[in-house]
Amino acid sequence: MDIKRRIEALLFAANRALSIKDIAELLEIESASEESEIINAITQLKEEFENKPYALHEVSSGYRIQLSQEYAEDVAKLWEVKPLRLSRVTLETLSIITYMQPVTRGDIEDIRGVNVATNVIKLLLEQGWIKIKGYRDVPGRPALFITTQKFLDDFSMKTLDDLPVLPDLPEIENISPELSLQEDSIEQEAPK
Amino acid sequence: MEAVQEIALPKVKGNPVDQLPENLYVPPKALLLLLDVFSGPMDFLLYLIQRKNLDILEVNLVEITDQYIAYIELMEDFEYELAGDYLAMAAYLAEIKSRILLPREEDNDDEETDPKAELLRRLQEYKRFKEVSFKLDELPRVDRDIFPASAKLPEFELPKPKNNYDKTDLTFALKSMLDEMVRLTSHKIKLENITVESKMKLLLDSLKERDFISLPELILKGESKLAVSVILTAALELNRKGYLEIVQAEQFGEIYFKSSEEVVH
Repeated sequence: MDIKRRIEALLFAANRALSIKDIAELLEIESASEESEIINAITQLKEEFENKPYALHEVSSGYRIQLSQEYAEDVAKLWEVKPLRLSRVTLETLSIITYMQPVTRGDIEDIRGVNVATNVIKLLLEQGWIKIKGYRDVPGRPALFITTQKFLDDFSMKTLDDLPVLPDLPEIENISPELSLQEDSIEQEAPK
Repeated sequence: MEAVQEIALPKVKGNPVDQLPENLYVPPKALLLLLDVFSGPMDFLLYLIQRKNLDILEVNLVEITDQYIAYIELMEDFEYELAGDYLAMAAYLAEIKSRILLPREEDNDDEETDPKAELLRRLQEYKRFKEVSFKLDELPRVDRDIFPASAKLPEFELPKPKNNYDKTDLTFALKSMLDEMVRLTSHKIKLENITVESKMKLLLDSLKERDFISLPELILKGESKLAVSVILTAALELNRKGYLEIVQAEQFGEIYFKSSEEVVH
Protein backbone atom coordinates (compact mmCIF):
# COMPACT_ATOMS: atom_id res chain seq x y z
CA MET A 1 0.00 0.00 0.00
CA ASP A 2 1.18 3.44 -0.85
CA ILE A 3 2.36 5.22 2.28
CA LYS A 4 0.85 8.46 1.02
CA ARG A 5 -2.60 6.90 0.78
CA ARG A 6 -2.23 5.31 4.19
CA ILE A 7 -1.39 8.69 5.71
CA GLU A 8 -4.28 10.27 3.85
CA ALA A 9 -6.62 7.63 5.28
CA LEU A 10 -5.37 8.28 8.81
CA LEU A 11 -5.75 12.03 8.51
CA PHE A 12 -9.20 11.71 7.01
CA ALA A 13 -10.46 9.53 9.79
CA ALA A 14 -8.71 11.17 12.72
CA ASN A 15 -11.00 14.15 13.45
CA ARG A 16 -7.98 15.78 15.06
CA ALA A 17 -4.44 16.74 14.25
CA LEU A 18 -1.83 13.97 13.98
CA SER A 19 1.86 14.64 14.49
CA ILE A 20 4.58 13.04 12.40
CA LYS A 21 5.31 10.94 15.47
CA ASP A 22 1.65 9.82 15.73
CA ILE A 23 1.66 8.81 12.07
CA ALA A 24 4.97 6.97 12.38
CA GLU A 25 3.64 5.01 15.34
CA LEU A 26 0.33 4.20 13.68
CA LEU A 27 2.03 3.00 10.51
CA GLU A 28 4.71 1.26 12.55
CA ILE A 29 7.49 3.17 10.93
CA GLU A 30 10.73 3.35 12.82
CA SER A 31 13.62 4.48 10.66
CA ALA A 32 14.38 8.11 10.14
CA SER A 33 14.46 7.72 6.37
CA GLU A 34 10.92 6.45 6.45
CA GLU A 35 9.91 9.37 8.62
CA SER A 36 11.13 11.70 5.95
CA GLU A 37 8.87 9.75 3.59
CA ILE A 38 5.97 10.80 5.81
CA ILE A 39 6.96 14.42 5.48
CA ASN A 40 7.27 14.02 1.71
CA ALA A 41 3.88 12.37 1.54
CA ILE A 42 2.32 15.20 3.53
CA THR A 43 3.84 17.76 1.19
CA GLN A 44 2.44 15.87 -1.79
CA LEU A 45 -0.98 15.57 -0.20
CA LYS A 46 -1.02 19.31 0.45
CA GLU A 47 -0.51 19.85 -3.27
CA GLU A 48 -3.11 17.25 -4.24
CA PHE A 49 -5.71 18.99 -2.10
CA GLU A 50 -5.25 22.33 -3.76
CA ASN A 51 -8.45 22.11 -5.78
CA LYS A 52 -10.48 20.52 -3.01
CA PRO A 53 -12.84 22.06 -0.49
CA TYR A 54 -10.52 20.77 2.20
CA ALA A 55 -6.88 21.32 2.93
CA LEU A 56 -4.05 19.79 4.89
CA HIS A 57 -3.22 22.24 7.61
CA GLU A 58 -0.54 22.29 10.28
CA VAL A 59 -1.46 23.30 13.82
CA SER A 60 0.21 22.88 17.17
CA SER A 61 -0.51 19.16 17.59
CA GLY A 62 0.40 18.25 14.02
CA TYR A 63 -1.43 17.95 10.72
CA ARG A 64 -5.13 17.76 10.09
CA ILE A 65 -7.40 17.67 7.10
CA GLN A 66 -9.95 20.39 7.51
CA LEU A 67 -12.73 21.87 5.45
CA SER A 68 -11.78 25.27 4.12
CA GLN A 69 -13.36 28.16 5.94
CA GLU A 70 -15.52 29.29 3.01
CA TYR A 71 -17.66 26.16 3.36
CA ALA A 72 -18.26 26.65 7.08
CA GLU A 73 -21.72 28.11 6.55
CA ASP A 74 -22.92 25.17 4.48
CA VAL A 75 -21.38 22.57 6.72
CA ALA A 76 -22.59 24.17 9.95
CA LYS A 77 -26.16 23.42 8.84
CA LEU A 78 -25.44 19.73 9.29
CA TRP A 79 -25.68 20.31 13.01
CA GLU A 80 -28.65 21.94 14.63
CA VAL A 81 -26.57 23.38 17.40
CA LYS A 82 -25.05 26.69 16.53
CA PRO A 83 -21.32 27.02 17.01
CA LEU A 84 -20.26 28.36 20.36
CA ARG A 85 -20.29 32.14 20.28
CA LEU A 86 -17.84 33.65 22.71
CA SER A 87 -18.98 36.68 24.67
CA ARG A 88 -16.89 39.83 24.87
CA VAL A 89 -16.10 39.04 28.50
CA THR A 90 -14.95 35.54 27.61
CA LEU A 91 -12.81 36.78 24.74
CA GLU A 92 -11.20 39.49 26.84
CA THR A 93 -10.49 37.04 29.64
CA LEU A 94 -9.04 34.52 27.20
CA SER A 95 -6.92 37.26 25.62
CA ILE A 96 -5.46 38.32 28.94
CA ILE A 97 -4.65 34.72 29.86
CA THR A 98 -3.15 34.13 26.42
CA TYR A 99 -0.86 37.13 26.34
CA MET A 100 0.02 37.44 30.02
CA GLN A 101 0.25 33.79 31.03
CA PRO A 102 0.61 32.55 33.63
CA VAL A 103 -2.01 34.76 35.26
CA THR A 104 -4.25 34.62 38.31
CA ARG A 105 -7.85 35.76 38.51
CA GLY A 106 -6.54 38.84 40.30
CA ASP A 107 -4.33 39.75 37.32
CA ILE A 108 -7.33 39.49 35.02
CA GLU A 109 -9.43 41.59 37.37
CA ASP A 110 -6.76 44.27 37.53
CA ILE A 111 -6.88 44.71 33.78
CA ARG A 112 -10.60 44.33 33.22
CA GLY A 113 -11.69 46.22 36.35
CA VAL A 114 -14.37 43.60 37.02
CA ASN A 115 -14.62 40.44 39.04
CA VAL A 116 -13.82 37.42 36.93
CA ALA A 117 -17.06 35.49 36.64
CA THR A 118 -16.66 31.85 37.61
CA ASN A 119 -18.66 30.68 34.61
CA VAL A 120 -16.19 32.36 32.24
CA ILE A 121 -13.24 30.48 33.72
CA LYS A 122 -15.35 27.33 33.80
CA LEU A 123 -16.21 27.66 30.12
CA LEU A 124 -12.57 28.15 29.18
CA LEU A 125 -11.55 25.14 31.27
CA GLU A 126 -14.35 23.02 29.81
CA GLN A 127 -13.33 23.90 26.29
CA GLY A 128 -9.86 22.72 27.24
CA TRP A 129 -8.39 26.05 26.17
CA ILE A 130 -6.85 26.90 29.55
CA LYS A 131 -5.53 24.89 32.45
CA ILE A 132 -4.10 25.49 35.88
CA LYS A 133 -0.34 25.43 36.00
CA GLY A 134 0.56 25.70 39.64
CA TYR A 135 -0.22 28.36 42.21
CA ARG A 136 1.37 31.72 42.82
CA ASP A 137 3.38 31.80 46.02
CA VAL A 138 1.47 34.65 47.65
CA PRO A 139 -1.16 34.62 50.40
CA GLY A 140 -4.20 32.68 49.22
CA ARG A 141 -2.05 30.80 46.72
CA PRO A 142 -4.17 31.74 43.68
CA ALA A 143 -4.22 29.39 40.72
CA LEU A 144 -2.11 30.32 37.70
CA PHE A 145 -3.80 29.86 34.35
CA ILE A 146 -2.07 29.11 31.07
CA THR A 147 -3.36 28.22 27.63
CA THR A 148 -3.25 24.67 26.28
CA GLN A 149 -2.21 22.96 23.08
CA LYS A 150 -5.90 22.44 22.30
CA PHE A 151 -6.33 26.21 22.39
CA LEU A 152 -3.66 26.51 19.69
CA ASP A 153 -5.25 23.71 17.65
CA ASP A 154 -8.77 25.10 17.96
CA PHE A 155 -7.68 28.60 17.02
CA SER A 156 -5.63 27.29 14.07
CA MET A 157 -2.21 28.14 15.41
CA LYS A 158 1.08 26.28 15.47
CA THR A 159 2.60 28.20 18.37
CA LEU A 160 1.79 31.26 20.45
CA ASP A 161 3.95 33.18 17.98
CA ASP A 162 1.04 32.93 15.55
CA LEU A 163 -1.13 35.08 17.81
CA PRO A 164 -2.27 38.48 16.60
CA VAL A 165 0.13 41.14 17.81
CA LEU A 166 -0.82 42.70 21.12
CA PRO A 167 -0.72 46.50 20.71
CA ASP A 168 2.09 48.12 22.65
CA LEU A 169 1.35 49.96 25.81
CA PRO A 170 2.21 53.56 24.97
CA GLU A 171 4.04 55.88 27.32
CA ILE A 172 1.74 57.82 29.58
CA GLU A 173 2.72 61.07 27.82
CA ASN A 174 1.29 59.69 24.60
CA ILE A 175 -1.79 58.20 26.09
CA SER A 176 -4.27 60.81 25.01
CA PRO A 177 -3.63 60.62 21.23
CA GLU A 178 -4.35 56.93 21.52
CA LEU A 179 -7.56 57.45 23.36
CA SER A 180 -8.82 60.42 21.39
CA LEU A 181 -10.19 59.60 18.00
CA GLN A 182 -10.12 62.87 16.16
CA GLU A 183 -8.24 65.48 18.02
CA ASP A 184 -4.86 66.08 16.43
CA SER A 185 -3.54 68.86 18.58
CA ILE A 186 -3.55 66.83 21.75
CA GLU A 187 0.17 67.02 22.39
CA GLN A 188 0.06 70.75 22.98
CA GLU A 189 -2.73 70.44 25.46
CA ALA A 190 -1.38 67.52 27.37
CA PRO A 191 -0.04 68.46 30.79
CA LYS A 192 3.66 68.51 31.37
CA MET B 1 -18.14 68.33 14.49
CA GLU B 2 -17.53 71.12 12.02
CA ALA B 3 -18.90 74.54 12.78
CA VAL B 4 -21.09 75.76 9.94
CA GLN B 5 -22.00 79.05 11.53
CA GLU B 6 -19.73 80.70 14.00
CA ILE B 7 -22.47 82.82 15.52
CA ALA B 8 -24.89 81.74 18.23
CA LEU B 9 -23.45 78.26 18.57
CA PRO B 10 -22.49 76.93 21.96
CA LYS B 11 -18.83 76.37 22.38
CA VAL B 12 -17.03 73.56 24.12
CA LYS B 13 -13.37 74.23 24.76
CA GLY B 14 -13.49 76.98 22.20
CA ASN B 15 -14.92 74.75 19.48
CA PRO B 16 -18.45 75.51 18.32
CA VAL B 17 -20.90 72.66 18.59
CA ASP B 18 -23.76 72.41 16.13
CA GLN B 19 -25.11 69.00 17.09
CA LEU B 20 -26.06 67.40 20.31
CA PRO B 21 -23.47 64.90 21.40
CA GLU B 22 -24.99 61.55 20.64
CA ASN B 23 -24.68 60.16 24.08
CA LEU B 24 -25.88 63.15 26.03
CA TYR B 25 -29.32 61.64 26.34
CA VAL B 26 -29.63 58.71 28.68
CA PRO B 27 -32.46 56.48 27.53
CA PRO B 28 -34.60 54.74 30.14
CA LYS B 29 -33.48 51.27 29.13
CA ALA B 30 -29.87 52.37 29.26
CA LEU B 31 -28.92 49.92 31.92
CA LEU B 32 -30.06 46.83 30.12
CA LEU B 33 -28.14 48.09 27.15
CA LEU B 34 -25.16 48.79 29.31
CA LEU B 35 -24.94 45.32 30.77
CA ASP B 36 -25.56 43.77 27.39
CA VAL B 37 -23.25 45.76 25.21
CA PHE B 38 -20.30 46.47 27.44
CA SER B 39 -18.04 43.88 28.91
CA GLY B 40 -17.45 45.90 32.06
CA PRO B 41 -16.90 49.37 33.51
CA MET B 42 -13.57 49.80 31.75
CA ASP B 43 -15.20 49.04 28.44
CA PHE B 44 -18.05 51.44 29.17
CA LEU B 45 -15.68 54.19 30.25
CA LEU B 46 -13.59 53.68 27.17
CA TYR B 47 -16.72 54.04 25.08
CA LEU B 48 -17.69 57.28 26.77
CA ILE B 49 -14.22 58.66 26.20
CA GLN B 50 -13.92 57.54 22.61
CA ARG B 51 -17.32 58.85 21.61
CA LYS B 52 -16.32 62.32 22.76
CA ASN B 53 -14.09 64.33 20.56
CA LEU B 54 -12.70 66.30 23.41
CA ASP B 55 -9.47 66.25 25.32
CA ILE B 56 -9.87 63.58 27.93
CA LEU B 57 -6.94 64.79 29.96
CA GLU B 58 -8.75 67.94 30.94
CA VAL B 59 -12.39 68.88 31.38
CA ASN B 60 -13.84 65.79 29.90
CA LEU B 61 -12.85 63.46 32.64
CA VAL B 62 -15.13 65.51 34.87
CA GLU B 63 -17.89 65.47 32.27
CA ILE B 64 -17.42 61.81 31.63
CA THR B 65 -17.54 61.12 35.33
CA ASP B 66 -20.88 62.91 35.52
CA GLN B 67 -22.15 61.02 32.51
CA TYR B 68 -20.88 57.76 33.83
CA ILE B 69 -22.57 58.36 37.17
CA ALA B 70 -25.78 59.35 35.40
CA TYR B 71 -25.87 55.90 33.85
CA ILE B 72 -24.96 54.19 37.06
CA GLU B 73 -27.78 55.88 38.94
CA LEU B 74 -30.21 54.10 36.65
CA MET B 75 -28.72 50.87 37.73
CA GLU B 76 -30.00 50.66 41.27
CA ASP B 77 -32.54 47.92 40.74
CA PHE B 78 -30.40 45.76 38.58
CA GLU B 79 -28.01 42.91 39.00
CA TYR B 80 -26.07 44.04 41.98
CA GLU B 81 -23.19 41.74 41.34
CA LEU B 82 -22.49 43.37 38.01
CA ALA B 83 -23.48 46.82 39.17
CA GLY B 84 -20.96 46.60 42.00
CA ASP B 85 -18.08 46.75 39.56
CA TYR B 86 -19.63 49.74 37.86
CA LEU B 87 -20.14 51.43 41.21
CA ALA B 88 -16.53 50.84 42.18
CA MET B 89 -15.49 52.58 38.99
CA ALA B 90 -17.91 55.42 39.73
CA ALA B 91 -16.31 55.95 43.12
CA TYR B 92 -12.88 55.89 41.56
CA LEU B 93 -13.93 58.45 38.97
CA ALA B 94 -15.50 60.65 41.63
CA GLU B 95 -12.23 60.66 43.50
CA ILE B 96 -10.33 61.66 40.40
CA LYS B 97 -12.87 64.35 39.65
CA SER B 98 -12.46 65.82 43.10
CA ARG B 99 -8.71 65.87 42.65
CA ILE B 100 -9.08 67.69 39.38
CA LEU B 101 -11.53 70.22 40.73
CA LEU B 102 -9.85 70.92 44.04
CA PRO B 103 -6.64 72.94 44.11
CA ARG B 104 -3.58 70.91 44.87
CA GLU B 105 -1.50 71.56 47.92
CA GLU B 106 1.89 71.27 46.43
CA ASP B 107 3.52 70.49 43.17
CA ASN B 108 3.62 66.77 43.76
CA ASP B 109 2.65 65.97 40.22
CA ASP B 110 4.16 62.55 40.47
CA GLU B 111 2.66 60.37 37.81
CA GLU B 112 3.07 57.25 39.90
CA THR B 113 0.61 58.44 42.47
CA ASP B 114 -1.64 60.56 40.29
CA PRO B 115 -4.93 58.64 40.16
CA LYS B 116 -5.81 60.20 36.81
CA ALA B 117 -2.61 58.99 35.22
CA GLU B 118 -3.20 55.64 36.88
CA LEU B 119 -6.69 55.46 35.41
CA LEU B 120 -5.48 56.40 31.95
CA ARG B 121 -2.77 53.78 32.25
CA ARG B 122 -5.31 51.17 33.21
CA LEU B 123 -7.63 52.20 30.40
CA GLN B 124 -4.80 51.93 27.93
CA GLU B 125 -3.86 48.54 29.27
CA TYR B 126 -7.43 47.38 29.06
CA LYS B 127 -7.85 48.81 25.56
CA ARG B 128 -5.02 46.75 24.08
CA PHE B 129 -6.53 43.54 25.38
CA LYS B 130 -9.95 44.58 24.20
CA GLU B 131 -8.59 45.21 20.72
CA VAL B 132 -6.62 42.01 20.57
CA SER B 133 -9.62 40.01 21.80
CA PHE B 134 -11.48 40.94 18.60
CA LYS B 135 -8.54 39.68 16.57
CA LEU B 136 -8.45 36.49 18.60
CA ASP B 137 -12.11 35.98 17.80
CA GLU B 138 -11.34 36.37 14.10
CA LEU B 139 -8.87 33.49 14.04
CA PRO B 140 -10.34 30.54 12.15
CA ARG B 141 -11.87 28.44 14.89
CA VAL B 142 -12.54 24.71 14.94
CA ASP B 143 -16.25 23.88 14.83
CA ARG B 144 -17.12 27.43 13.89
CA ASP B 145 -15.07 28.21 10.78
CA ILE B 146 -13.24 25.00 10.09
CA PHE B 147 -14.13 21.37 10.54
CA PRO B 148 -11.48 18.68 10.86
CA ALA B 149 -12.12 15.74 8.55
CA SER B 150 -13.73 12.80 10.27
CA ALA B 151 -14.46 10.09 7.76
CA LYS B 152 -16.51 7.18 9.02
CA LEU B 153 -14.67 3.91 9.06
CA PRO B 154 -16.50 1.26 7.04
CA GLU B 155 -15.62 -1.50 9.50
CA PHE B 156 -17.58 0.24 12.20
CA GLU B 157 -20.71 0.36 10.08
CA LEU B 158 -20.94 -3.21 8.88
CA PRO B 159 -21.75 -6.11 11.16
CA LYS B 160 -19.04 -8.66 11.53
CA PRO B 161 -19.36 -11.73 9.35
CA LYS B 162 -20.86 -14.88 10.87
CA ASN B 163 -18.87 -16.61 13.57
CA ASN B 164 -16.12 -14.08 13.27
CA TYR B 165 -15.49 -13.98 16.97
CA ASP B 166 -12.50 -14.80 19.01
CA LYS B 167 -12.89 -17.49 21.60
CA THR B 168 -10.99 -15.36 24.08
CA ASP B 169 -13.88 -12.87 23.82
CA LEU B 170 -16.16 -15.57 25.10
CA THR B 171 -13.73 -16.49 27.82
CA PHE B 172 -13.40 -12.94 29.01
CA ALA B 173 -17.14 -12.40 28.88
CA LEU B 174 -17.67 -15.54 30.90
CA LYS B 175 -15.02 -14.60 33.40
CA SER B 176 -16.44 -11.13 33.98
CA MET B 177 -19.90 -12.61 34.48
CA LEU B 178 -18.56 -15.19 36.89
CA ASP B 179 -16.71 -12.51 38.82
CA GLU B 180 -19.93 -10.59 39.00
CA MET B 181 -21.77 -13.60 40.32
CA VAL B 182 -19.14 -14.22 42.94
CA ARG B 183 -19.63 -10.68 44.09
CA LEU B 184 -23.41 -10.93 44.11
CA THR B 185 -24.06 -14.36 45.55
CA SER B 186 -23.61 -15.72 48.99
CA HIS B 187 -21.84 -19.00 49.30
CA LYS B 188 -24.21 -21.86 49.82
CA ILE B 189 -22.88 -25.23 49.00
CA LYS B 190 -25.36 -27.58 47.50
CA LEU B 191 -25.49 -30.36 45.01
CA GLU B 192 -26.80 -29.51 41.62
CA ASN B 193 -28.15 -31.85 39.08
CA ILE B 194 -27.86 -30.07 35.78
CA THR B 195 -27.41 -31.70 32.43
CA VAL B 196 -26.17 -30.24 29.19
CA GLU B 197 -29.22 -31.72 27.47
CA SER B 198 -31.68 -29.94 29.76
CA LYS B 199 -29.94 -26.63 29.20
CA MET B 200 -29.84 -27.19 25.44
CA LYS B 201 -33.59 -27.64 25.55
CA LEU B 202 -34.00 -24.53 27.71
CA LEU B 203 -31.90 -22.55 25.25
CA LEU B 204 -33.80 -23.73 22.19
CA ASP B 205 -37.11 -23.07 23.90
CA SER B 206 -36.04 -19.55 24.73
CA LEU B 207 -34.98 -19.00 21.14
CA LYS B 208 -38.40 -20.03 19.90
CA GLU B 209 -39.89 -17.09 21.74
CA ARG B 210 -37.35 -14.50 20.67
CA ASP B 211 -34.73 -14.10 17.97
CA PHE B 212 -31.75 -13.24 20.13
CA ILE B 213 -30.42 -13.93 23.56
CA SER B 214 -27.40 -12.02 24.76
CA LEU B 215 -24.61 -13.78 26.57
CA PRO B 216 -25.22 -12.01 29.90
CA GLU B 217 -28.93 -12.87 29.71
CA LEU B 218 -28.08 -16.45 29.02
CA ILE B 219 -25.63 -16.67 31.86
CA LEU B 220 -28.10 -15.12 34.27
CA LYS B 221 -30.33 -18.10 33.61
CA GLY B 222 -27.81 -20.13 35.58
CA GLU B 223 -28.07 -20.03 39.35
CA SER B 224 -24.50 -21.13 40.04
CA LYS B 225 -21.07 -21.42 38.51
CA LEU B 226 -21.82 -24.97 37.54
CA ALA B 227 -25.12 -24.03 35.91
CA VAL B 228 -23.44 -21.24 33.97
CA SER B 229 -20.73 -23.58 32.71
CA VAL B 230 -23.34 -26.09 31.66
CA ILE B 231 -25.39 -23.44 29.86
CA LEU B 232 -22.33 -22.23 28.02
CA THR B 233 -21.38 -25.80 27.14
CA ALA B 234 -24.92 -26.35 25.92
CA ALA B 235 -24.70 -23.21 23.78
CA LEU B 236 -21.39 -24.27 22.27
CA GLU B 237 -22.73 -27.76 21.67
CA LEU B 238 -25.77 -26.36 19.86
CA ASN B 239 -23.49 -24.11 17.86
CA ARG B 240 -21.33 -27.08 16.90
CA LYS B 241 -24.36 -29.03 15.78
CA GLY B 242 -25.54 -26.05 13.74
CA TYR B 243 -28.72 -25.27 15.69
CA LEU B 244 -27.43 -22.03 17.00
CA GLU B 245 -25.36 -19.12 15.77
CA ILE B 246 -23.13 -16.95 17.88
CA VAL B 247 -22.89 -13.41 16.58
CA GLN B 248 -21.17 -10.22 17.57
CA ALA B 249 -22.16 -7.01 15.79
CA GLU B 250 -19.07 -5.02 16.57
CA GLN B 251 -15.74 -5.30 18.24
CA PHE B 252 -16.09 -5.55 22.04
CA GLY B 253 -19.84 -5.56 21.53
CA GLU B 254 -22.40 -7.80 23.12
CA ILE B 255 -22.32 -11.45 22.08
CA TYR B 256 -25.70 -12.83 20.99
CA PHE B 257 -27.07 -16.29 20.41
CA LYS B 258 -29.65 -16.90 17.70
CA SER B 259 -31.09 -19.97 16.07
CA SER B 260 -29.69 -20.97 12.71
CA GLU B 261 -31.92 -20.41 9.71
CA GLU B 262 -30.99 -23.63 8.05
CA VAL B 263 -30.41 -26.49 10.38
CA VAL B 264 -27.48 -28.65 9.47
CA HIS B 265 -27.52 -32.16 10.81
